[in-house]
Amino acid sequence: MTDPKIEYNWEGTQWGMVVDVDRCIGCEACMIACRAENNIPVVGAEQNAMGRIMDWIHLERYYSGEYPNVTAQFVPMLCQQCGNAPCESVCPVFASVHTTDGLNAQVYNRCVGTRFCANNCPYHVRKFNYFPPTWQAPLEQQLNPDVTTRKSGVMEKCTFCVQRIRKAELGARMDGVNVSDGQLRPACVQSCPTQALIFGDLNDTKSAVSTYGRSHRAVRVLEDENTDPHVIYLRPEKLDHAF
Amino acid sequence: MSFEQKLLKTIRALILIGAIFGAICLWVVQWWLTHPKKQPIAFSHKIHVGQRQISCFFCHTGVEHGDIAGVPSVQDCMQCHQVVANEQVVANERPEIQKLTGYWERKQPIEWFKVYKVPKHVHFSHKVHIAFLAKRNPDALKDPGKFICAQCHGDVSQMSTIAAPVGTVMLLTGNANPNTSMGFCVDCHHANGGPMDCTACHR
Repeated sequence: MTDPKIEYNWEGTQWGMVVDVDRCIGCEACMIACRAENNIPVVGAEQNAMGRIMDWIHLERYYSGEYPNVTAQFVPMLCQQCGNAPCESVCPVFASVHTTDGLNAQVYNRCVGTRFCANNCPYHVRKFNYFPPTWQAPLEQQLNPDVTTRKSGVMEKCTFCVQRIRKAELGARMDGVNVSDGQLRPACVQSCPTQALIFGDLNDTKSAVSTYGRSHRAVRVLEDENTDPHVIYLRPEKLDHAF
Repeated sequence: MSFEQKLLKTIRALILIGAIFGAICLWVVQWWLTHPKKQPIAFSHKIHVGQRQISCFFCHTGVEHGDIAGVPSVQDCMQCHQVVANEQVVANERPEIQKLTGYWERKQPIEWFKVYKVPKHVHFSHKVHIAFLAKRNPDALKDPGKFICAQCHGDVSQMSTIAAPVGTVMLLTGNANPNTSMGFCVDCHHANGGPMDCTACHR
């Protein structure tokens, strides 16, 4: 559908994230924060064993070295919000669409559950509701009202906490200002104790993400797939073969 | 009369009966979906807004500062009704206010039937829409019911009962103004430069 040779020049605000792999200690606070913020159901051990775990952000572990000198490297993996997303071109109902501010949006009420997008995603970050999500008795009281609870048969994925983005944008619009850098933080960025995750506008040359994005350590995962990811990983200084 | 003629006549009659039956079914479904549901107290916006000229913001307090407009509590109703049309009238003359006093004395909240609903996957904020309309027309806040709320809710000062809004099912009556369909939202967003991407409402 889209010509892979086209280089997209998205204008205006382009939300992006920087993941400093050297700073990540693998505490999984981002995963818990994401669950709490985005009403992600717990599928249970049986479904988990079938690879149906619902985590919008998960940690990938990479070990390197021989036995006494083994080093572990944690890589938080979330939806890369690709500028040239493989999931978007295959959705038959346009449930996976691109917004003008660089988000790869998933419209739950459009989704019919073909799972084509998850098969086409090179990062394996799209999660499918195989069964109706349930919460045990008092837990349904703690759901975030800003986020839709998905039904069974619906694909879901990291949205960069779009509910927070829209809220901040509307607040800024009502005050007649722009969203300032660092004001807006998704749940994972907010909860990261070592500040391994940084969120901001990639098109703003003064923002933290674009500054880190110009670093010599900056890489994008599976860049040769020409997906133009909006998540930039800062490669470890010492060992560069983790990527 | 030949067999073919008889057959033709029977088919015609069947089609006619089917059409009438179908129309009745459609009408029943339409009525069932859109008829005004009975509220626990027959509250009239016509009296409060039309005759008494109370601002919408006076009772729906959340509307200017939050996403949800909110329904006033029994306490809010009794702020006025402890005096207004309660003490000085005989008990039988104002049965609805007597009902309200009953709720107040039993310390029981009123279970209003929710009329304006959007589906779960739609996230609507009253605050933002009021701020936008007030910005566009600075005089709007002097009479918000007429210039702001009526844009979507219709002229409630003339409604003794708030009819259930016509949602996505518009079979016979067509697209009415009190309306929570996506087309109604998108038309206005398109005309007034509102955000047009999906995540503005669906997230």
